[in-house]
Amino acid sequence: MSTIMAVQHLSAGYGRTTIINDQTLTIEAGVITGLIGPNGSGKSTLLNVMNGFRAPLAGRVLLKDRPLSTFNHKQRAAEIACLTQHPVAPEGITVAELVSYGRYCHSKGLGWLRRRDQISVTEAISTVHLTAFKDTLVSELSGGQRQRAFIAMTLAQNSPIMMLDEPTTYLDLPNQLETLALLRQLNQVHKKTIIVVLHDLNQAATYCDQLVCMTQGRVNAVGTPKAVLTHELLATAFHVSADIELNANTQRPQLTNCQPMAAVAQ
Amino acid sequence: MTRRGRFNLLVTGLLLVAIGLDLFGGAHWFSPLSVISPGTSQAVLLGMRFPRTLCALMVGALLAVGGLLLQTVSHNPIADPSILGINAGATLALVIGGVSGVALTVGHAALLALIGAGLAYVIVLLLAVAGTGVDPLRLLLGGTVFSGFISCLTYAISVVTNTTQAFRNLLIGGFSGVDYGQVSLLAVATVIVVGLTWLNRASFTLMALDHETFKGLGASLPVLWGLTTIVIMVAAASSVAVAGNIGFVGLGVPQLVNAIIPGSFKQNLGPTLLTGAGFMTLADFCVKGFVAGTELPLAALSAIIGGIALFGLVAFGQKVIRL
Repeated sequence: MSTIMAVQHLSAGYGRTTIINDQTLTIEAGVITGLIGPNGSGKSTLLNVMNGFRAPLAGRVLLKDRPLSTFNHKQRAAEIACLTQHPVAPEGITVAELVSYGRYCHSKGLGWLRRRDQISVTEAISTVHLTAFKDTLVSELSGGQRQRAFIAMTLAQNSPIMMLDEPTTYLDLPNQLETLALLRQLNQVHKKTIIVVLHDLNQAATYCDQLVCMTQGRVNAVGTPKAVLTHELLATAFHVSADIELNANTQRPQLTNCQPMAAVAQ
Repeated sequence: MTRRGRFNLLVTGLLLVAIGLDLFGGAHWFSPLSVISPGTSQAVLLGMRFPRTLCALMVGALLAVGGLLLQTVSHNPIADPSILGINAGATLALVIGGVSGVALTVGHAALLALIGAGLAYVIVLLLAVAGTGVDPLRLLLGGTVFSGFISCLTYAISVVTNTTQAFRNLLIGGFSGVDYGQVSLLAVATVIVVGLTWLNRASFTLMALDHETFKGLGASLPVLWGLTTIVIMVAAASSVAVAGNIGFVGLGVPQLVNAIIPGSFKQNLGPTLLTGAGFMTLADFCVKGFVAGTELPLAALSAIIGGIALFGLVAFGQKVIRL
Protein backbone atom coordinates (compact mmCIF):
# COMPACT_ATOMS: atom_id res chain seq x y z
CA MET A 1 0.00 0.00 0.00
CA SER A 2 1.22 3.47 -0.79
CA THR A 3 0.55 6.77 0.92
CA ILE A 4 -1.68 9.11 -1.10
CA MET A 5 -2.11 11.90 1.47
CA ALA A 6 -0.12 12.92 4.51
CA VAL A 7 -0.77 15.41 7.28
CA GLN A 8 2.43 16.61 8.97
CA HIS A 9 2.53 18.46 12.30
CA LEU A 10 -0.80 20.01 11.45
CA SER A 11 -2.48 22.66 13.55
CA ALA A 12 -5.86 23.93 12.44
CA GLY A 13 -8.74 25.97 13.77
CA TYR A 14 -10.98 28.96 13.24
CA GLY A 15 -9.57 32.43 13.85
CA ARG A 16 -7.69 32.30 17.15
CA THR A 17 -9.25 29.05 18.31
CA THR A 18 -6.93 26.13 17.72
CA ILE A 19 -8.94 22.93 17.37
CA ILE A 20 -6.25 20.56 16.09
CA ASN A 21 -2.76 20.92 17.54
CA ASP A 22 0.37 19.39 15.94
CA GLN A 23 -1.10 16.15 14.57
CA THR A 24 0.41 13.78 12.01
CA LEU A 25 -1.47 11.23 9.90
CA THR A 26 -1.09 9.31 6.64
CA ILE A 27 -3.85 8.10 4.35
CA GLU A 28 -3.29 4.92 2.32
CA ALA A 29 -4.28 4.82 -1.33
CA GLY A 30 -7.19 2.60 -2.32
CA VAL A 31 -8.75 2.09 1.09
CA ILE A 32 -11.78 3.46 2.90
CA THR A 33 -10.67 5.48 5.90
CA GLY A 34 -13.33 6.29 8.47
CA LEU A 35 -12.99 9.38 10.67
CA ILE A 36 -14.71 8.74 13.97
CA GLY A 37 -14.87 10.62 17.25
CA PRO A 38 -17.33 12.45 19.47
CA ASN A 39 -18.96 15.76 18.43
CA GLY A 40 -16.52 18.65 18.46
CA SER A 41 -13.45 16.40 18.37
CA GLY A 42 -12.11 18.01 15.19
CA LYS A 43 -13.22 15.50 12.52
CA SER A 44 -14.79 18.09 10.26
CA THR A 45 -11.94 20.53 10.85
CA LEU A 46 -9.42 17.87 9.85
CA LEU A 47 -11.47 17.02 6.75
CA ASN A 48 -11.76 20.68 5.76
CA VAL A 49 -8.00 21.17 5.98
CA MET A 50 -7.28 17.95 4.09
CA ASN A 51 -9.61 18.94 1.23
CA GLY A 52 -8.08 22.42 0.98
CA PHE A 53 -11.15 24.41 2.11
CA ARG A 54 -9.16 25.80 5.02
CA ALA A 55 -5.50 26.69 5.26
CA PRO A 56 -3.69 25.05 8.19
CA LEU A 57 -2.50 27.31 11.03
CA ALA A 58 0.76 25.37 11.06
CA GLY A 59 2.18 22.23 9.46
CA ARG A 60 1.23 21.00 6.02
CA VAL A 61 -0.92 18.65 4.01
CA LEU A 62 0.74 16.59 1.26
CA LEU A 63 -1.20 15.22 -1.69
CA LYS A 64 0.81 12.69 -3.70
CA ASP A 65 4.00 14.02 -2.02
CA ARG A 66 3.25 17.61 -3.08
CA PRO A 67 2.02 20.32 -0.69
CA LEU A 68 -1.75 20.77 -1.19
CA SER A 69 -1.27 24.55 -1.24
CA THR A 70 0.62 24.28 -4.55
CA PHE A 71 -2.47 22.90 -6.33
CA ASN A 72 -4.81 25.49 -7.85
CA HIS A 73 -8.57 25.15 -7.28
CA LYS A 74 -9.28 23.10 -10.39
CA GLN A 75 -6.23 20.86 -9.99
CA ARG A 76 -7.22 20.16 -6.40
CA ALA A 77 -10.80 19.37 -7.38
CA ALA A 78 -9.50 16.96 -10.03
CA GLU A 79 -7.70 15.03 -7.24
CA ILE A 80 -10.17 15.37 -4.35
CA ALA A 81 -13.96 15.36 -4.67
CA CYS A 82 -15.91 16.51 -1.62
CA LEU A 83 -19.44 15.89 -0.45
CA THR A 84 -20.33 18.37 2.27
CA GLN A 85 -22.75 17.79 5.10
CA HIS A 86 -25.61 19.93 3.75
CA PRO A 87 -25.21 20.24 -0.01
CA VAL A 88 -27.83 22.63 -1.40
CA ALA A 89 -28.93 22.38 -5.04
CA PRO A 90 -30.36 25.48 -6.70
CA GLU A 91 -34.06 25.40 -7.60
CA GLY A 92 -35.11 23.99 -10.90
CA ILE A 93 -32.10 21.92 -11.97
CA THR A 94 -32.24 18.32 -13.14
CA VAL A 95 -30.08 15.43 -11.93
CA ALA A 96 -28.11 15.45 -15.20
CA GLU A 97 -27.46 19.19 -14.84
CA LEU A 98 -26.28 18.78 -11.24
CA VAL A 99 -23.98 15.89 -12.08
CA SER A 100 -22.49 17.85 -14.99
CA TYR A 101 -21.20 20.44 -12.48
CA GLY A 102 -18.68 17.81 -11.41
CA ARG A 103 -16.96 18.26 -14.76
CA TYR A 104 -16.11 21.90 -13.98
CA CYS A 105 -12.60 21.07 -12.74
CA HIS A 106 -11.80 19.50 -16.12
CA SER A 107 -13.20 22.36 -18.19
CA LYS A 108 -10.98 24.71 -20.09
CA GLY A 109 -11.77 28.07 -21.64
CA LEU A 110 -15.44 28.51 -22.40
CA GLY A 111 -16.66 25.52 -20.45
CA TRP A 112 -18.58 23.69 -23.16
CA LEU A 113 -19.37 20.14 -22.14
CA ARG A 114 -17.39 17.93 -24.49
CA ARG A 115 -18.26 14.39 -25.50
CA ARG A 116 -15.93 12.97 -22.85
CA ASP A 117 -17.71 15.04 -20.20
CA GLN A 118 -21.11 13.78 -21.34
CA ILE A 119 -19.86 10.18 -21.07
CA SER A 120 -18.52 10.77 -17.53
CA VAL A 121 -21.84 12.31 -16.49
CA THR A 122 -23.87 9.42 -17.91
CA GLU A 123 -21.58 6.88 -16.24
CA ALA A 124 -21.73 8.63 -12.87
CA ILE A 125 -25.53 8.70 -12.99
CA SER A 126 -25.73 5.02 -13.87
CA THR A 127 -23.22 4.09 -11.11
CA VAL A 128 -25.55 5.56 -8.47
CA HIS A 129 -28.60 3.93 -10.16
CA LEU A 130 -30.35 7.17 -11.08
CA THR A 131 -30.47 6.71 -14.85
CA ALA A 132 -34.27 6.65 -14.79
CA PHE A 133 -34.24 9.97 -12.93
CA LYS A 134 -31.66 11.87 -14.97
CA ASP A 135 -34.21 14.40 -16.24
CA THR A 136 -36.01 14.70 -12.90
CA LEU A 137 -35.66 17.90 -10.88
CA VAL A 138 -33.31 17.44 -7.91
CA SER A 139 -35.95 19.09 -5.70
CA GLU A 140 -38.41 16.29 -6.53
CA LEU A 141 -36.10 13.45 -5.40
CA SER A 142 -36.35 11.63 -2.08
CA GLY A 143 -33.64 12.17 0.53
CA GLY A 144 -31.73 9.05 -0.43
CA GLN A 145 -31.95 9.74 -4.17
CA ARG A 146 -30.82 13.32 -3.59
CA GLN A 147 -27.75 12.10 -1.70
CA ARG A 148 -26.97 9.69 -4.56
CA ALA A 149 -27.32 12.54 -7.07
CA PHE A 150 -24.72 14.55 -5.15
CA ILE A 151 -22.45 11.50 -4.92
CA ALA A 152 -22.78 11.18 -8.71
CA MET A 153 -21.72 14.83 -9.01
CA THR A 154 -18.54 14.13 -7.03
CA LEU A 155 -18.00 10.95 -9.10
CA ALA A 156 -18.10 13.00 -12.30
CA GLN A 157 -15.06 14.87 -10.99
CA ASN A 158 -13.22 11.63 -11.76
CA SER A 159 -10.85 12.21 -8.85
CA PRO A 160 -8.87 9.42 -7.17
CA ILE A 161 -9.88 10.66 -3.70
CA MET A 162 -13.39 11.23 -2.31
CA MET A 163 -14.08 12.93 1.02
CA LEU A 164 -17.54 12.75 2.55
CA ASP A 165 -18.65 14.54 5.71
CA GLU A 166 -21.33 12.51 7.51
CA PRO A 167 -23.03 11.27 4.32
CA THR A 168 -25.51 9.13 6.27
CA THR A 169 -26.61 11.58 8.97
CA TYR A 170 -29.91 12.72 7.45
CA LEU A 171 -30.92 9.40 5.89
CA ASP A 172 -33.15 6.59 7.13
CA LEU A 173 -31.57 3.17 7.75
CA PRO A 174 -32.11 1.60 4.30
CA ASN A 175 -30.71 4.70 2.63
CA GLN A 176 -27.78 4.79 5.06
CA LEU A 177 -26.90 1.19 4.18
CA GLU A 178 -27.37 1.84 0.48
CA THR A 179 -25.06 4.86 0.62
CA LEU A 180 -22.39 2.90 2.48
CA ALA A 181 -22.69 -0.02 0.06
CA LEU A 182 -22.27 2.46 -2.78
CA LEU A 183 -19.09 3.79 -1.16
CA ARG A 184 -17.76 0.24 -0.89
CA GLN A 185 -18.57 -0.36 -4.55
CA LEU A 186 -16.77 2.87 -5.52
CA ASN A 187 -13.78 1.72 -3.53
CA GLN A 188 -13.68 -1.81 -4.92
CA VAL A 189 -14.79 -1.30 -8.52
CA HIS A 190 -13.61 2.25 -9.19
CA LYS A 191 -10.52 2.01 -6.93
CA LYS A 192 -11.38 5.25 -5.11
CA THR A 193 -9.54 6.29 -1.98
CA ILE A 194 -12.36 7.32 0.35
CA ILE A 195 -12.22 9.36 3.54
CA VAL A 196 -15.56 9.47 5.31
CA VAL A 197 -16.77 10.96 8.59
CA LEU A 198 -19.19 8.55 10.29
CA HIS A 199 -20.98 8.62 13.63
CA ASP A 200 -22.26 5.05 13.79
CA LEU A 201 -19.31 2.99 15.04
CA ASN A 202 -20.79 -0.32 13.88
CA GLN A 203 -21.24 1.03 10.35
CA ALA A 204 -17.73 2.49 10.48
CA ALA A 205 -16.33 -0.88 11.58
CA THR A 206 -18.24 -2.74 8.87
CA TYR A 207 -17.55 -0.50 5.89
CA CYS A 208 -14.12 1.07 6.59
CA ASP A 209 -10.73 -0.60 6.17
CA GLN A 210 -8.97 1.93 8.39
CA LEU A 211 -10.33 3.99 11.26
CA VAL A 212 -8.95 7.27 12.58
CA CYS A 213 -10.34 8.24 15.96
CA MET A 214 -10.19 11.91 16.92
CA THR A 215 -10.58 13.12 20.51
CA GLN A 216 -10.29 16.76 21.54
CA GLY A 217 -8.31 17.69 18.45
CA ARG A 218 -5.87 14.79 18.72
CA VAL A 219 -5.55 11.68 16.60
CA ASN A 220 -6.27 9.17 19.33
CA ALA A 221 -5.99 5.91 17.43
CA VAL A 222 -5.28 4.77 13.86
CA GLY A 223 -5.60 1.28 12.44
CA THR A 224 -7.99 -1.47 11.41
CA PRO A 225 -11.42 -1.41 13.03
CA LYS A 226 -10.39 -4.41 15.13
CA ALA A 227 -7.31 -2.59 16.44
CA VAL A 228 -9.03 0.76 17.02
CA LEU A 229 -12.37 -0.24 18.57
CA THR A 230 -11.21 -1.39 22.00
CA HIS A 231 -12.86 -1.14 25.43
CA GLU A 232 -10.19 1.36 26.38
CA LEU A 233 -10.81 3.65 23.38
CA LEU A 234 -14.59 3.52 23.89
CA ALA A 235 -14.04 4.57 27.49
CA THR A 236 -11.51 7.37 26.86
CA ALA A 237 -12.91 8.85 23.63
CA PHE A 238 -16.66 8.23 23.92
CA HIS A 239 -17.20 7.54 27.65
CA VAL A 240 -19.12 4.47 26.64
CA SER A 241 -18.86 0.84 27.70
CA ALA A 242 -19.99 -1.92 25.38
CA ASP A 243 -19.57 -5.58 24.53
CA ILE A 244 -17.35 -5.98 21.47
CA GLU A 245 -17.97 -9.04 19.33
CA LEU A 246 -16.39 -10.09 16.06
CA ASN A 247 -18.98 -10.66 13.36
CA ALA A 248 -18.56 -14.25 12.15
CA ASN A 249 -18.98 -13.36 8.46
CA THR A 250 -17.11 -10.09 8.16
CA GLN A 251 -14.60 -10.53 10.98
CA ARG A 252 -15.32 -6.91 11.87
CA PRO A 253 -15.94 -5.81 15.46
CA GLN A 254 -19.53 -4.93 16.40
CA LEU A 255 -20.66 -3.16 19.54
CA THR A 256 -23.65 -4.35 21.50
CA ASN A 257 -25.13 -3.38 24.82
CA CYS A 258 -23.71 0.18 24.70
CA GLN A 259 -24.02 2.08 27.97
CA PRO A 260 -22.84 5.54 28.94
CA MET A 261 -20.04 5.26 31.53
CA ALA A 262 -21.94 7.35 34.08
CA ALA A 263 -24.76 4.76 34.11
CA VAL A 264 -22.27 1.93 34.62
CA ALA A 265 -20.66 3.73 37.52
CA GLN A 266 -23.94 3.93 39.40
CA MET B 1 -40.78 20.08 -28.93
CA THR B 2 -39.68 20.57 -25.33
CA ARG B 3 -41.25 23.03 -22.94
CA ARG B 4 -38.03 25.04 -23.09
CA GLY B 5 -38.12 25.08 -26.90
CA ARG B 6 -41.77 26.20 -26.95
CA PHE B 7 -40.98 28.96 -24.47
CA ASN B 8 -38.03 30.24 -26.50
CA LEU B 9 -40.13 30.21 -29.67
CA LEU B 10 -42.97 32.08 -27.96
CA VAL B 11 -40.66 34.68 -26.44
CA THR B 12 -38.83 35.24 -29.72
CA GLY B 13 -42.20 35.71 -31.45
CA LEU B 14 -43.37 38.18 -28.81
CA LEU B 15 -40.04 40.00 -29.05
CA LEU B 16 -40.48 40.46 -32.80
CA VAL B 17 -44.07 41.65 -32.35
CA ALA B 18 -42.93 44.08 -29.63
CA ILE B 19 -40.18 45.45 -31.89
CA GLY B 20 -42.68 45.94 -34.70
CA LEU B 21 -45.23 47.67 -32.46
CA ASP B 22 -42.64 49.91 -30.82
CA LEU B 23 -41.03 50.91 -34.12
CA PHE B 24 -44.13 51.60 -36.16
CA GLY B 25 -46.79 52.17 -33.51
CA GLY B 26 -47.43 54.87 -30.95
CA ALA B 27 -49.03 58.30 -31.05
CA HIS B 28 -48.53 58.15 -34.80
CA TRP B 29 -48.57 54.86 -36.71
CA PHE B 30 -46.17 54.47 -39.61
CA SER B 31 -46.27 52.04 -42.47
CA PRO B 32 -43.29 49.68 -42.40
CA LEU B 33 -42.77 50.63 -46.05
CA SER B 34 -41.98 54.23 -45.14
CA VAL B 35 -38.52 53.11 -43.99
CA ILE B 36 -37.45 52.75 -47.62
CA SER B 37 -39.24 55.82 -49.06
CA PRO B 38 -37.43 59.11 -48.34
CA GLY B 39 -39.49 61.72 -46.50
CA THR B 40 -40.51 62.92 -43.03
CA SER B 41 -41.73 59.49 -42.02
CA GLN B 42 -38.38 57.94 -42.89
CA ALA B 43 -36.55 60.67 -40.97
CA VAL B 44 -38.70 60.14 -37.86
CA LEU B 45 -38.33 56.36 -38.05
CA LEU B 46 -34.57 56.40 -38.51
CA GLY B 47 -33.80 59.38 -36.28
CA MET B 48 -36.20 58.78 -33.38
CA ARG B 49 -38.04 55.46 -33.48
CA PHE B 50 -35.04 53.24 -34.27
CA PRO B 51 -32.79 54.54 -31.47
CA ARG B 52 -35.70 54.44 -29.04
CA THR B 53 -36.55 50.81 -29.78
CA LEU B 54 -32.88 49.82 -29.69
CA CYS B 55 -32.50 51.49 -26.27
CA ALA B 56 -35.61 49.75 -24.91
CA LEU B 57 -34.36 46.37 -26.14
CA MET B 58 -30.92 46.79 -24.59
CA VAL B 59 -32.07 48.29 -21.28
CA GLY B 60 -34.57 45.46 -20.86
CA ALA B 61 -31.89 42.86 -21.58
CA LEU B 62 -29.33 44.55 -19.27
CA LEU B 63 -31.71 44.84 -16.32
CA ALA B 64 -32.99 41.28 -16.67
CA VAL B 65 -29.51 39.75 -16.97
CA GLY B 66 -28.21 41.88 -14.07
CA GLY B 67 -31.13 40.71 -11.93
CA LEU B 68 -30.65 37.03 -12.83
CA LEU B 69 -26.94 37.23 -12.00
CA LEU B 70 -27.50 38.94 -8.65
CA GLN B 71 -30.24 36.46 -7.71
CA THR B 72 -27.97 33.53 -8.56
CA VAL B 73 -24.82 34.67 -6.77
CA SER B 74 -26.62 35.95 -3.65
CA HIS B 75 -28.77 32.77 -3.35
CA ASN B 76 -31.71 35.08 -3.09
CA PRO B 77 -34.69 34.93 -5.45
CA ILE B 78 -35.75 38.51 -4.65
CA ALA B 79 -32.36 40.19 -5.06
CA ASP B 80 -32.18 42.77 -7.83
CA PRO B 81 -29.93 45.80 -8.44
CA SER B 82 -32.92 48.12 -7.90
CA ILE B 83 -33.80 46.49 -4.57
CA LEU B 84 -30.21 46.86 -3.38
CA GLY B 85 -30.29 50.61 -4.05
CA ILE B 86 -27.76 50.44 -6.89
CA ASN B 87 -30.14 52.02 -9.43
CA ALA B 88 -31.24 54.59 -6.85
CA GLY B 89 -27.60 55.52 -6.19
CA ALA B 90 -27.02 56.07 -9.90
CA THR B 91 -30.20 58.19 -10.12
CA LEU B 92 -29.14 60.33 -7.15
CA ALA B 93 -25.69 60.91 -8.64
CA LEU B 94 -27.27 62.03 -11.92
CA VAL B 95 -29.71 64.41 -10.20
CA ILE B 96 -26.97 65.91 -8.01
CA GLY B 97 -24.76 66.27 -11.07
CA GLY B 98 -27.55 67.87 -13.10
CA VAL B 99 -28.56 70.27 -10.32
CA SER B 100 -24.98 71.38 -9.74
CA GLY B 101 -24.60 72.25 -13.41
CA VAL B 102 -22.87 69.28 -15.02
CA ALA B 103 -23.95 69.07 -18.66
CA LEU B 104 -25.54 65.60 -18.81
CA THR B 105 -24.04 64.42 -22.09
CA VAL B 106 -23.99 60.69 -22.69
CA GLY B 107 -20.41 60.37 -21.43
CA HIS B 108 -20.97 62.50 -18.32
CA ALA B 109 -24.22 60.74 -17.50
CA ALA B 110 -22.60 57.32 -17.81
CA LEU B 111 -19.71 58.33 -15.58
CA LEU B 112 -21.95 59.91 -12.91
CA ALA B 113 -24.28 56.90 -12.92
CA LEU B 114 -21.32 54.54 -12.57
CA ILE B 115 -19.96 56.53 -9.59
CA GLY B 116 -23.39 56.64 -7.93
CA ALA B 117 -24.03 52.93 -8.52
CA GLY B 118 -20.56 52.04 -7.23
CA LEU B 119 -20.90 54.13 -4.05
CA ALA B 120 -24.34 52.69 -3.33
CA TYR B 121 -23.02 49.14 -3.87
CA VAL B 122 -20.09 49.69 -1.48
CA ILE B 123 -22.34 51.25 1.19
CA VAL B 124 -24.92 48.45 0.97
CA LEU B 125 -22.15 45.81 1.12
CA LEU B 126 -20.64 47.49 4.20
CA LEU B 127 -24.09 47.53 5.82
CA ALA B 128 -24.35 43.80 5.14
CA VAL B 129 -20.96 42.77 6.54
CA ALA B 130 -21.54 40.73 9.65
CA GLY B 131 -18.81 38.81 11.42
CA THR B 132 -16.95 36.78 8.83
CA GLY B 133 -18.76 37.68 5.63
CA VAL B 134 -21.68 39.25 3.84
CA ASP B 135 -25.00 38.12 5.30
CA PRO B 136 -27.55 37.78 2.45
CA LEU B 137 -30.49 38.80 4.65
CA ARG B 138 -28.70 41.92 5.89
CA LEU B 139 -27.72 42.70 2.29
CA LEU B 140 -31.36 42.62 1.26
CA LEU B 141 -32.86 44.46 4.22
CA GLY B 142 -30.08 47.04 4.31
CA GLY B 143 -30.38 47.49 0.56
CA THR B 144 -34.15 48.00 0.67
CA VAL B 145 -33.95 50.60 3.42
CA PHE B 146 -30.99 52.32 1.77
CA SER B 147 -32.76 52.32 -1.59
CA GLY B 148 -35.84 54.00 -0.09
CA PHE B 149 -33.68 56.57 1.67
CA ILE B 150 -31.73 57.43 -1.49
CA SER B 151 -34.89 57.67 -3.60
CA CYS B 152 -36.46 60.11 -1.11
CA LEU B 153 -33.27 62.16 -1.14
CA THR B 154 -33.35 62.25 -4.94
CA TYR B 155 -36.96 63.47 -5.01
CA ALA B 156 -36.26 66.00 -2.24
CA ILE B 157 -33.34 67.51 -4.14
CA SER B 158 -35.35 67.59 -7.32
CA VAL B 159 -38.43 69.17 -5.70
CA VAL B 160 -36.44 71.76 -3.71
CA THR B 161 -34.52 72.85 -6.81
CA ASN B 162 -37.67 72.86 -8.97
CA THR B 163 -36.17 70.41 -11.45
CA THR B 164 -38.70 67.57 -11.41
CA GLN B 165 -39.73 68.42 -14.98
CA ALA B 166 -36.13 68.59 -16.20
CA PHE B 167 -35.35 65.21 -14.62
CA ARG B 168 -38.73 63.68 -15.52
CA ASN B 169 -37.21 60.86 -17.57
CA LEU B 170 -34.70 60.07 -14.87
CA LEU B 171 -37.19 60.04 -12.00
CA ILE B 172 -40.07 58.15 -13.56
CA GLY B 173 -38.17 56.35 -16.30
CA GLY B 174 -38.58 56.64 -20.03
CA PHE B 175 -36.98 56.57 -23.45
CA SER B 176 -38.34 59.80 -24.98
CA GLY B 177 -35.70 61.80 -26.80
CA VAL B 178 -32.95 59.17 -26.88
CA ASP B 179 -30.52 59.34 -29.80
CA TYR B 180 -27.71 57.28 -31.25
CA GLY B 181 -25.28 58.55 -28.57
CA GLN B 182 -27.27 56.64 -25.96
CA VAL B 183 -27.59 53.70 -28.31
CA SER B 184 -23.78 53.50 -28.53
CA LEU B 185 -23.42 53.72 -24.75
CA LEU B 186 -25.91 50.88 -24.25
CA ALA B 187 -24.30 48.86 -27.03
CA VAL B 188 -20.94 49.01 -25.25
CA ALA B 189 -22.60 48.11 -21.94
CA THR B 190 -24.49 45.22 -23.53
CA VAL B 191 -21.32 43.81 -25.09
CA ILE B 192 -19.56 43.96 -21.68
CA VAL B 193 -22.48 42.54 -19.66
CA VAL B 194 -23.63 39.83 -22.07
CA GLY B 195 -20.04 38.97 -23.00
CA LEU B 196 -18.84 38.53 -19.43
CA THR B 197 -21.91 36.58 -18.28
CA TRP B 198 -21.89 34.35 -21.37
CA LEU B 199 -18.16 33.55 -21.17
CA ASN B 200 -18.38 32.78 -17.44
CA ARG B 201 -21.81 31.18 -17.40
CA ALA B 202 -20.49 27.80 -16.25
CA SER B 203 -18.80 29.41 -13.24
CA PHE B 204 -21.77 31.65 -12.39
CA THR B 205 -24.01 28.59 -12.56
CA LEU B 206 -21.97 26.91 -9.81
CA MET B 207 -22.37 29.99 -7.58
CA ALA B 208 -25.98 28.94 -7.05
CA LEU B 209 -24.71 25.94 -5.05
CA ASP B 210 -23.79 26.22 -1.38
CA HIS B 211 -20.40 27.70 -0.67
CA GLU B 212 -18.59 24.50 0.35
CA THR B 213 -19.86 22.43 -2.56
CA PHE B 214 -18.89 25.30 -4.87
CA LYS B 215 -15.32 25.21 -3.51
CA GLY B 216 -15.18 21.44 -3.69
CA LEU B 217 -15.92 21.57 -7.42
CA GLY B 218 -12.79 23.68 -7.96
CA ALA B 219 -14.31 27.13 -8.47
CA SER B 220 -12.81 30.30 -7.07
CA LEU B 221 -14.98 32.93 -5.41
CA PRO B 222 -12.97 36.22 -5.44
CA VAL B 223 -12.62 36.38 -9.22
CA LEU B 224 -16.30 35.64 -9.74
CA TRP B 225 -17.43 38.25 -7.21
CA GLY B 226 -15.22 40.77 -9.03
CA LEU B 227 -16.83 39.88 -12.36
CA THR B 228 -20.30 40.00 -10.80
CA THR B 229 -19.61 43.49 -9.47
CA ILE B 230 -18.45 44.74 -12.88
CA VAL B 231 -21.46 43.25 -14.66
CA ILE B 232 -24.00 44.63 -12.20
CA MET B 233 -22.41 48.10 -12.04
CA VAL B 234 -22.27 48.42 -15.83
CA ALA B 235 -25.81 47.06 -16.33
CA ALA B 236 -27.41 49.27 -13.67
CA ALA B 237 -25.43 52.46 -14.39
CA SER B 238 -25.88 52.40 -18.17
CA SER B 239 -29.61 51.71 -18.01
CA VAL B 240 -30.19 54.43 -15.40
CA ALA B 241 -28.08 56.91 -17.40
CA VAL B 242 -30.28 56.34 -20.45
CA ALA B 243 -33.73 55.48 -19.14
CA GLY B 244 -33.84 56.41 -15.46
CA ASN B 245 -34.67 54.23 -12.51
CA ILE B 246 -36.86 51.36 -13.73
CA GLY B 247 -37.69 48.70 -11.19
CA PHE B 248 -39.34 45.29 -11.51
CA VAL B 249 -37.60 44.11 -14.71
CA GLY B 250 -34.49 42.91 -12.86
CA LEU B 251 -36.60 41.21 -10.22
CA GLY B 252 -39.65 40.02 -12.10
CA VAL B 253 -38.38 38.86 -15.48
CA PRO B 254 -35.89 36.25 -14.15
CA GLN B 255 -38.61 35.08 -11.70
CA LEU B 256 -41.20 34.78 -14.45
CA VAL B 257 -38.83 32.85 -16.73
CA ASN B 258 -37.77 30.53 -13.93
CA ALA B 259 -41.37 29.86 -12.96
CA ILE B 260 -42.28 28.79 -16.49
CA ILE B 261 -39.05 26.97 -17.38
CA PRO B 262 -37.19 26.10 -14.16
CA GLY B 263 -33.47 25.89 -14.86
CA SER B 264 -29.95 26.84 -13.92
CA PHE B 265 -28.22 30.14 -14.63
CA LYS B 266 -26.69 29.00 -17.89
CA GLN B 267 -29.94 27.42 -19.08
CA ASN B 268 -32.03 30.51 -18.35
CA LEU B 269 -29.57 33.23 -19.35
CA GLY B 270 -30.71 33.38 -22.98
CA PRO B 271 -34.47 33.17 -22.33
CA THR B 272 -34.17 35.80 -19.55
CA LEU B 273 -32.29 38.17 -21.86
CA LEU B 274 -34.90 37.79 -24.62
CA THR B 275 -37.83 38.15 -22.21
CA GLY B 276 -36.32 41.28 -20.62
CA ALA B 277 -35.75 42.87 -24.01
CA GLY B 278 -39.26 42.01 -25.18
CA PHE B 279 -40.89 43.14 -21.95
CA MET B 280 -39.19 46.54 -21.99
CA THR B 281 -39.94 47.13 -25.68
CA LEU B 282 -43.60 46.26 -25.16
CA ALA B 283 -43.73 48.50 -22.07
CA ASP B 284 -42.26 51.37 -24.12
CA PHE B 285 -44.94 50.88 -26.78
CA CYS B 286 -47.63 51.07 -24.07
CA VAL B 287 -46.00 54.20 -22.63
CA LYS B 288 -46.30 56.16 -25.85
CA GLY B 289 -49.29 54.45 -27.43
CA PHE B 290 -51.97 54.25 -24.70
CA VAL B 291 -52.73 57.93 -24.18
CA ALA B 292 -52.27 60.05 -27.29
CA GLY B 293 -49.93 62.98 -26.82
CA THR B 294 -48.72 61.88 -23.36
CA GLU B 295 -45.82 59.72 -22.26
CA LEU B 296 -46.93 57.54 -19.36
CA PRO B 297 -44.36 57.00 -16.58
CA LEU B 298 -42.40 53.92 -17.69
CA ALA B 299 -41.24 52.93 -14.19
CA ALA B 300 -44.84 52.91 -12.93
CA LEU B 301 -46.08 51.01 -15.98
CA SER B 302 -43.30 48.45 -15.62
CA ALA B 303 -44.20 47.99 -11.98
CA ILE B 304 -47.92 47.61 -12.77
CA ILE B 305 -47.48 45.05 -15.57
CA GLY B 306 -44.83 43.24 -13.58
CA GLY B 307 -46.84 43.38 -10.38
CA ILE B 308 -49.84 41.76 -12.09
CA ALA B 309 -47.62 39.04 -13.59
CA LEU B 310 -45.96 38.28 -10.24
CA PHE B 311 -49.32 38.36 -8.46
CA GLY B 312 -50.59 35.79 -10.95
CA LEU B 313 -47.58 33.59 -10.29
CA VAL B 314 -48.01 33.74 -6.54
CA ALA B 315 -51.79 33.33 -6.58
CA PHE B 316 -52.15 30.58 -9.17
CA GLY B 317 -48.79 28.86 -9.00
CA GLN B 318 -47.69 27.59 -12.36
CA LYS B 319 -51.11 26.35 -13.44
CA VAL B 320 -52.09 29.41 -15.46
CA ILE B 321 -48.91 29.51 -17.49
CA ARG B 322 -48.36 25.86 -18.40
CA LEU B 323 -47.08 25.84 -21.93
